[in-house]
Amino acid sequence: MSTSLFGNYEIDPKIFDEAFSPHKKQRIQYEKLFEELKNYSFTDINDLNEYARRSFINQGITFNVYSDQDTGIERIFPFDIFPRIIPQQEWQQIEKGVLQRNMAINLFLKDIYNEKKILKDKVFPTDLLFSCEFYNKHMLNFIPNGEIYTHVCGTDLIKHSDGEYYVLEDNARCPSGVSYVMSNRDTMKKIFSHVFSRHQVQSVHEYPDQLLATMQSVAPVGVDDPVCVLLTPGVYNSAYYEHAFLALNMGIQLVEGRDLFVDKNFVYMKTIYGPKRVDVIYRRVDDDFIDPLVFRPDSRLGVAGLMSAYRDGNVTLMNAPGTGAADDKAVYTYLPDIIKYYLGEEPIIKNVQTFRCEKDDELKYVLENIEKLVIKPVDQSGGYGILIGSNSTKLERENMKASIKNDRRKYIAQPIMSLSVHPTYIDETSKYEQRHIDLRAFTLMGNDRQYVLKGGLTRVALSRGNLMVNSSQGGGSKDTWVLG
Amino acid sequence: MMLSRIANSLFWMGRYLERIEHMARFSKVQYYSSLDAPMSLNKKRVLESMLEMNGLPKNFCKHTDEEVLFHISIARTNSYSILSCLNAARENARGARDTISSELWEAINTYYNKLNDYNTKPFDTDEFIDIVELILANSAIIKGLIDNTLFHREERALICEGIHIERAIQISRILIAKLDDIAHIEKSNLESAIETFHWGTLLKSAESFDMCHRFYRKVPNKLNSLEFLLFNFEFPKSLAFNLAQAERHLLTIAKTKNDVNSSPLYFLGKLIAKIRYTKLEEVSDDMTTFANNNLSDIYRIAAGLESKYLSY
Repeated sequence: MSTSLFGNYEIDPKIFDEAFSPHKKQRIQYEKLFEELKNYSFTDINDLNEYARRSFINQGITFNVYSDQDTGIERIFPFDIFPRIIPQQEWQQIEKGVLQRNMAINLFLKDIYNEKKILKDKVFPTDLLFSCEFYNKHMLNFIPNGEIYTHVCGTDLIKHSDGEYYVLEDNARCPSGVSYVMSNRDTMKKIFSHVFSRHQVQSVHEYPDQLLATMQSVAPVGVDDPVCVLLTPGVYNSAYYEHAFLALNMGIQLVEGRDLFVDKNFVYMKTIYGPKRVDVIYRRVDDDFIDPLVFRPDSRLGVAGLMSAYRDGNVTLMNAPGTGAADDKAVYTYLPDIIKYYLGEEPIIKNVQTFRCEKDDELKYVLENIEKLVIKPVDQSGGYGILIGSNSTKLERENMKASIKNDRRKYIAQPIMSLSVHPTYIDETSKYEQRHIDLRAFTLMGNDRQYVLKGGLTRVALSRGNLMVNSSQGGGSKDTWVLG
Repeated sequence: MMLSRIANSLFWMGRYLERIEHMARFSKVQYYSSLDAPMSLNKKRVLESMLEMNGLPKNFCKHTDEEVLFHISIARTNSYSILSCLNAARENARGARDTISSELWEAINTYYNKLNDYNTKPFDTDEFIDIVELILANSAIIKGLIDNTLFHREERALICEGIHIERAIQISRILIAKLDDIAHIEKSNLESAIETFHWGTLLKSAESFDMCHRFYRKVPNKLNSLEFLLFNFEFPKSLAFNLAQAERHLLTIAKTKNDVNSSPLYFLGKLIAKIRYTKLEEVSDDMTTFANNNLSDIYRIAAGLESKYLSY
């Protein structure tokens, strides 16, 4: 490598580097970008980083760290300006794979809340389903408008050292992060306009239009011009920026629970002109909080009577309540079977091999090989409660073993996957280093329409060797270019 | 389509933005005029007057100039500081993020971040002048964006209603504070340089000195200063002008409910009529009572407006 920026870039040949071969040869999709970066010094990179940081702060793309509130410090989600590039062919596989997965998840949800054929055919264990924390009995014997449950789904993918993509998890409840995809792109276009003009990068900006069209497609029967709203928990929610961004870019109202009320099983919002009927709600409030009459009675974020209006078909909620039953990590292990059962197809993207601790032989393997495995609670997100065997102390492993034996349904184990790495600029060392990344792909499903956002969110673990990319664990993000 | 909650946020965003501007300008004019004021002007009194205008207790004054200026401008611990008011404006803007333009939101957010950055450097009285200039410049930018990037419908009417109501309040408060200052001048000094000084700072605090001078073609005195700030329907800092604007915007808001005979409009119309048909000679003997009565009328109108149109 001749360019000064990557002259001292160190490569670990055991891990898949997205931009370099193990012999430090540039991968073909990155060649034009490296060519362009020859003209840049580390000082330039520092300046561009600072520009990007300012731009995020001024746009208000920040989240509050609660312990910092007294001092008024707002954080930005760290952004690395070196983009991740995905060649067209590779992307097509991802797109087909996540669509297949989401079609199957949707059929699964419809089945488990209605006919329960998959249980009767013994493809999926009954007790596993009924022990899912997010299995929602208020959804039984009811099919939502348009027969869609997971209107918005985020599929987390990783690339292993074998160069193949694997699905790490499905986020079928209220996946977030899509606004970062669009804001990252905007910032990159300002910084690297000439680089963009040399690449055919697929646009990400039609997402809000697609989302709105998805909402309109699932409107209650007989409503021609549906009133769509986005329901947010409010300005103090960490994803508020995203809620406001999406509402603004769809041209719909951003509402809070206190702006809505239910009268005779119809939902209305309180406007200065009087009550106005609402037909479709993209809710970014968790199941537990959407209706105090049905779920948590102490919730102030929801709307009393909403579930009743929903079950009458007078309003559409997206995503449907109870979709969490499909992204339970123990259910995940059955996804290949679920795909085969409903679609008669082989999964296009593989699952990571997973051990279910509730099975005796698999539990035995997990307990004996815990230092080679990642242990995950089935019902948590954001990287909480995870134990990475190789990075843990003996005490932590023993404690985990005890927890597993205590509640076997609660844990699954996976081999430690070697997430691919990507050159990432590190402030402390002022140079490019390998950092682990993943990819969240966003899929929209409406009545007779599907859409996968061409790009998705590349998350990057900023500390060396760290495998956790979640923003709550100090992760950052990168712009993701799908080439046309 | 506008939610009542958003309408409320827009109204208060306008009020806070306007309040900040007056706090900054009043403090600057007071403080810098006091540095070379006629001899008997008491420094302690100037600081007290600044604190009172900004809602802090008078006894704060045992502290230094720097401390007073710091607490008025950027102290996070003072919920009445300019920074706290700006944060309130910003939180209202954030809540109405999907209703206002991105340009307006980013301008308000950047404005807040720039002001907040002063908290990271050492503070002295020179810093204060920079802060005031930052505030006045950003206020102008934001008002430009309100006029030029929003629909001239309910959304702008609500922000402008907030701005004009707040300006009518702040002009009245500044007037009352100055009348109090003048009341404290010793009798022998009345109609002297020191009184002229006070009328001058009153006009400057309301950004009205140049235009008043131009309008009457003589040095400001009690009669022309008061007449100008209270009764001139053509000057944007006068009470009369702001009440008329508030009425205009309130009509736009009232139309949303097909209700142009509501009580806030009635009381506002009545107050405007009083201002229009009162002669200065009728009230100049007890100006303070007149100004205080106007102020309570405005507060009542604002409260009525909120409960009638903006409650949710």
